[in-house]
Amino acid sequence: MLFSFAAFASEFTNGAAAFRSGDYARAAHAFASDAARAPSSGAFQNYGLAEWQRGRKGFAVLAWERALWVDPANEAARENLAFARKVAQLEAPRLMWHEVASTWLPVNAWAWLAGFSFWMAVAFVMLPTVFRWKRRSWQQACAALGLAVFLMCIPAMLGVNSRAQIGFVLESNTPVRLTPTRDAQTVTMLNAGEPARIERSRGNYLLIRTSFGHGWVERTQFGRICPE
Amino acid sequence: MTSLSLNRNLTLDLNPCGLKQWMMSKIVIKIKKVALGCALVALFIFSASAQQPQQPNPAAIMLSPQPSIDTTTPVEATASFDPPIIRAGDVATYRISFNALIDSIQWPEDVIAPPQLNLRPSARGQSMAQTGAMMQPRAGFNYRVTVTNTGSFTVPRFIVYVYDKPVTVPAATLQVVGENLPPVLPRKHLLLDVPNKNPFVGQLVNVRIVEPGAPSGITILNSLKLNGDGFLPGQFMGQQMRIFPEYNSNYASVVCESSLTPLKPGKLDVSAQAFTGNLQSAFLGGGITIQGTISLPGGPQPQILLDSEPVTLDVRPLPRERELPGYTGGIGHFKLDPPQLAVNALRVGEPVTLSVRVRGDGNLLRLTPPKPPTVPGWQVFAGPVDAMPPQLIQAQGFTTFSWTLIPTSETNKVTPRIPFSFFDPDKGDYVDASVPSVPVKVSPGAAPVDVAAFASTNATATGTEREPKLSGLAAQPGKSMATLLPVQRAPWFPVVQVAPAVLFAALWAWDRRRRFHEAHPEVMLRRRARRALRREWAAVRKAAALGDTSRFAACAVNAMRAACAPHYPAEPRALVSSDVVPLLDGADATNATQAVRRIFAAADAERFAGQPPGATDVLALRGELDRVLAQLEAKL
Repeated sequence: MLFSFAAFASEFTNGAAAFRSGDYARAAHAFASDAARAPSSGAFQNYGLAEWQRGRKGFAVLAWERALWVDPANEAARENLAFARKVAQLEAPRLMWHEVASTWLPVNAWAWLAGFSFWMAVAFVMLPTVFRWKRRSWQQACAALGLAVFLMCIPAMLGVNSRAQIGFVLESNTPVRLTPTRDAQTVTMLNAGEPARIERSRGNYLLIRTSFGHGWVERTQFGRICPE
Repeated sequence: MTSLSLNRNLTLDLNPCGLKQWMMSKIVIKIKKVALGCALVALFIFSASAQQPQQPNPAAIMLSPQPSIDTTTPVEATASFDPPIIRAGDVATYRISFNALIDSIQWPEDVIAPPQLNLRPSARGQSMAQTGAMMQPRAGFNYRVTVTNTGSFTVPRFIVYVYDKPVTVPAATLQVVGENLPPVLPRKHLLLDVPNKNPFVGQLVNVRIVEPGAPSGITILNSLKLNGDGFLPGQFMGQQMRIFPEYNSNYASVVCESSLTPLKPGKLDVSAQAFTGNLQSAFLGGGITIQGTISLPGGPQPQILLDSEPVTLDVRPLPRERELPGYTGGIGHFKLDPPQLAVNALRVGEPVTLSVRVRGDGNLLRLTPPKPPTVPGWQVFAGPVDAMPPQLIQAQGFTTFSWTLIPTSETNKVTPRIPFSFFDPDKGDYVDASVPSVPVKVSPGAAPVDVAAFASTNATATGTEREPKLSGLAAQPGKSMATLLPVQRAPWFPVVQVAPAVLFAALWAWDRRRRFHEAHPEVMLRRRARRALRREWAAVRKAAALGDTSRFAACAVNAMRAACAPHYPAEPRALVSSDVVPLLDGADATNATQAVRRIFAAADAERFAGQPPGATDVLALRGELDRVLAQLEAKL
């Protein structure tokens, strides 16, 4: 157990050493392995840097988005994304208000906060009656606070759900097809790193919506922030 | 002369008399003055254009007739080993030449050769030589040959399609002799000298292509080329012809200098190739510098493709994590002259040019000025790029950066400091070479409306706008998740959320039950009585089975008391047989009453007189007792 933990921990340091020596392919592989074992913000950030150095912009953008998905306070990943989008002239995903709100805390925090606040409100309403405590105003205040926090968490949770449908084009000149078939007419071509929302899937194809319109892309050419 | 003669004409026209004639003469004078002015302007333009040197028009040059390429001469192929005799373990060059364009040759991927010969492609290229009014193409393919066995090895003839027609490449034979035999002819090849084999990405690396001299005379090179991937080749300078002791040659060598810029880190293989040629082609390629006594070959020279052994560079990446502000990719040793401001006294809204010369040994051609900073009190714009031709920039050893600065506040005392840095490959680190501030006196001026608006906006700005840039590596993995899937979409999450609901429901049920029992205490009494009755009844059966009459009677009395207690506001121990009897009813109440009395009597006798009841007397009442207890249980 300890041996396996040390082996996995060394993946991160191996990747950093390979990156410093200029072996970006090996660095990307090591960081990807580390992130697959335990998705961490630092591993995704470094994986994005390695992929960027390899010229794989789509993979780099996806990795940095995942770093922010894990830790919205990762300013380095945010700046890397800004840099990449400025250099490669890429769009950022257009987020709705509840999706913007969902980026204020880590994605899992909203669900736990909603559950905790709801049951806290229920407890402060119910427990004084059950245990025949003397009713106090602070108990009612806590119940109201819990309910308010719960109601505020609901849009953020919906935002997390809809952000999970966002993904990024991985390869340059990815064709967007009219129908989910190999011989379908190409509607447009997308650059690596362009954002899109997944609407549904069929076989090896995903129906995505971008700022250029609808279309089907192959699964292998598209990476979503939150893989199924 | 023209103007003078015209002036004389005017003077003559002023002589006529009479008013009308005088008026007419005035009009004529006016017209002639206008004509004189036009003539003077035309004369000035003509003379000015006549003084300008005639510049060649690039479009006219392109349209001028160029010598056509000879593609009609029958294509011939030559193949040979250079040298034809080598010692085992030495290297030879298998060289094939065509008098055709290289793009027209369908060259096979592999050349069939004896298995003892190890053939490796080393160069391929094309050169042009002017023969009369035509340009004669010459294509060459070189293979590096190594062999360890002695003997005679022949590459058989083979067919190659050129201009879609078959052309036979003749057979070539290589003789390999033992190592102890006398020296053989040297191989014609190039030397590639790269002093810095461990450069950084983007660093300018100087290279030298050397054609070692030979006793037969000097060889002039043309169509020079650097082969390899992952670098940007520079321009070739002119050729130098002299004796180079550093190349251990007693004959005059030809050296051509160039440069390359690595584009990616890692191992990089570089090799050089060139065609031997005439003096004329070398002059066209950038000039020749001759030192000492050199014997130049005369007449047409054969065009042979030469190549060098590959040189491996180990290119290091730049440490981007230590990058300083204002870094624009400059690598080398640079130094800034003091910055020059066009004027030191200016008004608000008045543009001024700030220029600074950057000297150094790096790649000045690709040195980019830093982006203009955003600072309060100034508008800074990028100035024009250095208009010097690239050759002159590299030759003079400096380039000029310039910016246009507009003060937006009269409180400015100095120009803004402009961040600039470069990477010093010797130190292996970035060096700050920011353009320092220059004292300036700004007086209030009639600033245009837009500048004033910008000044007021800029005055409220708290800091400079930060350009996004790539971060360094994260030292630690940082925050992590078990999976990227949000917990709210995990199948176990609803279960976890329902767990508190179960707890609260249990609490609610418990509270409700408690409140019910508090409102109906008889329910609990009857339930306890029922439990006590069943416990004592079981003890009665057990005592009866054992024939223990004392215990039978005691347990039977306890069972009846427990079953009757809820019907009376009394303790069960205080009840007697007369309390039990009223609760009995039914057809055989008499027998039951007697049985109850006899059991109570037996128990009292045992308790108070110490006389155990007779076995037959009491145990015979067991059946009746069961009916009594069943009757009492039914009433609970």
